[in-house]
Amino acid sequence: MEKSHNPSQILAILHLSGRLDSFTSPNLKNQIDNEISTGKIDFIINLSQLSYISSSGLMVLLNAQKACNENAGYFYLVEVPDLIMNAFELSGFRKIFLFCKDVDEALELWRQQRNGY
Amino acid sequence: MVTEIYPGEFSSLAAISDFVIEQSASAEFNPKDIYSIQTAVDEACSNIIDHAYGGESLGYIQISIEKINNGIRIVIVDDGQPFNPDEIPLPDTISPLEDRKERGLGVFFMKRLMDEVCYDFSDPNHNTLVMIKLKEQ
Repeated sequence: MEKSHNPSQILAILHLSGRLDSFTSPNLKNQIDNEISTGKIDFIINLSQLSYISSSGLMVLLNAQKACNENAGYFYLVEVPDLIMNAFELSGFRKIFLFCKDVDEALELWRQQRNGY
Repeated sequence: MVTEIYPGEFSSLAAISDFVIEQSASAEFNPKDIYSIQTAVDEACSNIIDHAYGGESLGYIQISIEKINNGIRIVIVDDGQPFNPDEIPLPDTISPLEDRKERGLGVFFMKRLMDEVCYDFSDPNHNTLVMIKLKEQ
């Protein structure tokens, strides 16, 4: 998991890789909590390098979406691999999240929604 | 039939998935089915650690995989407390986000992704879970 540089104080862009399971999900939860504690309210999460997501990984993303809603923030999932999208579909989570093609598309949408950044 | 034994720790999950993927691929499942089988076993093992053992490093997880006619049969054994997932309510996949409860999603995945999911608690010393996945005809 690495963090992209971005000019904003309120937007975090996270790149996930490997497996998001019961072992690794707590790390993502901590990372998101840390971002929120430093003032981030919007998130772009890039899943392009993710090979697997379990129910615990989905719950971390769901709770992050809830936290964003509470902070009036925006939450985007980008470049979700097909097999992983099936898990979102099966869990009924697909209609909860906003999916974008890639980070650039999410950034463009974010700039429109935040209009000013 | 191939059998592997892992420590009941979340750090075992990656190696367990590698084993399941390798065996499913050798049984000639397609990538989507291999991912489904991986998910079902991963969720089952996470539940064993969380619920049967009630924590990490308190026991083992034994996984046996056998190719059967047109599919694969997976037997997972632990010696934790009997944990019957049928007693867990199914997850809420319809309600608005704010109303969702965090439970039952793993078991829901197992049942939806596999053709058969069957628990046997008749042996007082071991819990046995049998899951079967068949190839699409």
